[in-house]
Amino acid sequence: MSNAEELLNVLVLQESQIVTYRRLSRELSVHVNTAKELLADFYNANRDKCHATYLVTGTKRPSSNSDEIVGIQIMLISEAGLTALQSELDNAACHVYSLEYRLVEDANAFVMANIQAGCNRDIAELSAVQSSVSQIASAPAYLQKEPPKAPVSNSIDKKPIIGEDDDGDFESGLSTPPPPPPPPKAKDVRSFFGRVPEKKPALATMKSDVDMAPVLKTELQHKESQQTEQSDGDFDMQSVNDESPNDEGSRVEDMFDDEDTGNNSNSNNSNNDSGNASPIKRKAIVDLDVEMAESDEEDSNQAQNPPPEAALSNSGAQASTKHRVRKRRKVSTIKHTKNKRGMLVSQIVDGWESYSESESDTSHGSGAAAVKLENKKDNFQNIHPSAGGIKQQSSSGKAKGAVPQRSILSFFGKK
Amino acid sequence: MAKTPQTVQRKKQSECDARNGADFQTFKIGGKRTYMQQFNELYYTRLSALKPFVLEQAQQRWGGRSDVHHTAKVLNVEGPTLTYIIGTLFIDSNAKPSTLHMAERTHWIADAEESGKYRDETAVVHLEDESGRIGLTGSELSKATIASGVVAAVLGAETPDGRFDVAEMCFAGMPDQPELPREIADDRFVAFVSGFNATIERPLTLEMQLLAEYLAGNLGSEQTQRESAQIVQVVVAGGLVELPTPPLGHTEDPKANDRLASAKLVSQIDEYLADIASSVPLVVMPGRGDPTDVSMPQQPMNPGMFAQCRQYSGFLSTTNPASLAVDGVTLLGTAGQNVDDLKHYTINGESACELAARSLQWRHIAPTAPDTLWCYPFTTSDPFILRQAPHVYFVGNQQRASAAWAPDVHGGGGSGGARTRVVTVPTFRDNYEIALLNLRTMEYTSVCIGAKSASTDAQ
Repeated sequence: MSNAEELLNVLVLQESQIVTYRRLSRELSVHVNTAKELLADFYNANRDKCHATYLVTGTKRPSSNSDEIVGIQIMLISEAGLTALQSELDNAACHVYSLEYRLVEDANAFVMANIQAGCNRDIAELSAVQSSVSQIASAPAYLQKEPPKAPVSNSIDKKPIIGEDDDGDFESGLSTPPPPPPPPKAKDVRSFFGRVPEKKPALATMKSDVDMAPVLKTELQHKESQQTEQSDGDFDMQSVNDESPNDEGSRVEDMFDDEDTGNNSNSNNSNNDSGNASPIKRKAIVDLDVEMAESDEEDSNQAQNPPPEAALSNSGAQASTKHRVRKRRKVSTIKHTKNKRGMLVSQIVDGWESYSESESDTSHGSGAAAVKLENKKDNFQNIHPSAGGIKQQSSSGKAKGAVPQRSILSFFGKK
Repeated sequence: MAKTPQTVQRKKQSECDARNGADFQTFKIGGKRTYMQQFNELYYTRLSALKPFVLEQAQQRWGGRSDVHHTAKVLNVEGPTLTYIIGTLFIDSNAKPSTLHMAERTHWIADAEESGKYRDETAVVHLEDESGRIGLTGSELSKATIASGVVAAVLGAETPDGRFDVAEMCFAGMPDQPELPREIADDRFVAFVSGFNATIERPLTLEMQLLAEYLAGNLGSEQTQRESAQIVQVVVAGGLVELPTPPLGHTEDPKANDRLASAKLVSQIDEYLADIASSVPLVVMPGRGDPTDVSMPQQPMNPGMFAQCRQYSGFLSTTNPASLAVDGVTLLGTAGQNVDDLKHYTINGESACELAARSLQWRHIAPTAPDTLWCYPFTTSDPFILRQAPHVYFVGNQQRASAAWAPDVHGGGGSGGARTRVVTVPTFRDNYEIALLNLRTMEYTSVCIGAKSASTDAQ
């Protein structure tokens, strides 16, 4: 059995496919006219097993209408209508167009079979008519079946999946597998995302314009006795004076870590659920803020708590060594409580919110704060460099354009 | 013993391909396009350009008569003496489409095609020049095949009511026709096809596939293949795709990517046409529903649509109308919008072929632009004015294939008796029919491709 017979036996008789002459020509790499002859030979040998579709060409006989121009007829027809059609045409010729297992009435089946047979240009070398045009260019890259691999950008590996700044990185992160997050730098304890678990981060430099240190210490001592409410932040705040100067910078993040629910890796919170730890932390901070606010109201525009000396001394270093500094600023929040009679009471409570500023901003702020501290070192116990600087600027008048606005309270501060 | 199949070499064009020598009519709009200008400049340009030719024809026809004199301006016509005036015909009729009415019906730009006739009983024909217009009357108007925008000379006299009673009409006539550079020795065919009108639901049909096989020379017997090898040029006269019309009030949502299906359809057509372009030189013109300008002249479709076709040297995407040259034979063709618009003005049942031939005698292939045929507001020139008579003038997307000669009638015509073979190309989607033109004999042949199902056979 020849290759053609085997192929047609499999495709037509076994798989019930429609095999056109073009497909056979491509499969066997034979001339299209040879493929037509092969189809005819196979059909003649297996007439009772398959069906043939013929293509008939001829000239239409002129009708009585003299205006009608001479026409050539090219018709695809089954074997049943072959004879009748040939009788209607002059110079009629036919050949086997396709073989199929049984009669196909749907024209779309032939369309799909032709699509399966491929393009005419794929069998250009096997065509009966040689092309008179030349190929001047290859297909564009986007039309190729195998699209070229896009070069992997280094930025993808370096930047996290969800970029903060660049949408392009975000999209590239979506289209490519998310790269593993960069390992936290062990040396950079000030990194907000890569805090080393073993280390106890230093207390954040809480610089405000209130005398906070005494209140803070008092509160810390109170909380120290209550292990259930202890948190990383509180623990860190407790150890503010015990920490070495080198760890002062990380106290800022740790102070803000109290507000983060996911960065608490302290096992001391095992007594509380992770979900409850956050409310507890915030409550503690709020309490502190409330107390600080009360002290602020008492001592407005007067003595302000100086920061811990270690923290203050490292503020400049902190600003100079890191790109972003986490700081806190005083904001007003509305707190709803119930009084003794069960009535809902709303009161404005000064609170603290964390923010970050760039190194350039910090340098200006720290510079201004450093000058201020030098001038009022005796009066300040705990001061936030930027906030103090801003308030000072707001009270003294226009600041030099380099120092940006830090606290919204500066607009509403008592003058 | 099996007969060894032979491969026939397709006939190639001479050095004059579809590009060379095809610049006798230019329809590309160059530079920056602006639509702020009025159309009056286009009318003025047209009248200025054709008036000398019309005057020449009128003087040849009526100049020898002593009782006839020429009146330079329309408004200067007076008295019952015979005179002839030259101007632009304008048909004012309530049946003509109104831009305001179209805007009321749709939220978007409305389809310019309007069914029905533009000349009814209320139609008034005017002749207009730089000075003004005058109403025409007379029985000659009902016999003549005219349309808005045609520059003509009318012979007659003023009536007491101030109108002009037309006795005869005269037009610019066909321009001169260049001679063929060489005599065509053998039969060479140009295949015309139009109106694939592929849709998203049916991008490809069996008839289209058979057509591609026929043009590539694979289909049919050896005799048919030898005839296919004589095809030196294939021209697709518009109507590649039929993009869906957005519903009334539709607002395109950029996020929904509504155009994805249309883009896929275009790529499928490109794939299909590349099959033809790989074997024979192919020229593609845009048509009514193709993604290009709506107004005439339609500019070439975006090259990005034919990424596969552009790989082959014989592929050309051109304008509509387009001027080509095949083996020295100049061809001028349109996708049919101009003739379809002329049909609205006919009152005597002229066929598309007759209207196309008549437009050659008017020396303007789209006179109804910009009145009822959307057109770019040209100011310095009118590209639809014939500069030279083509050897072949084809019109696509018509009901059936027909052919005629454009001789000089009404005394019009260029020197030397230009004759143009006017052919109409049928819409493939409706009739599955293409046309072959023998460049040597100018014989026009139609090729009907079809598929009969078994149920049809039983009947």
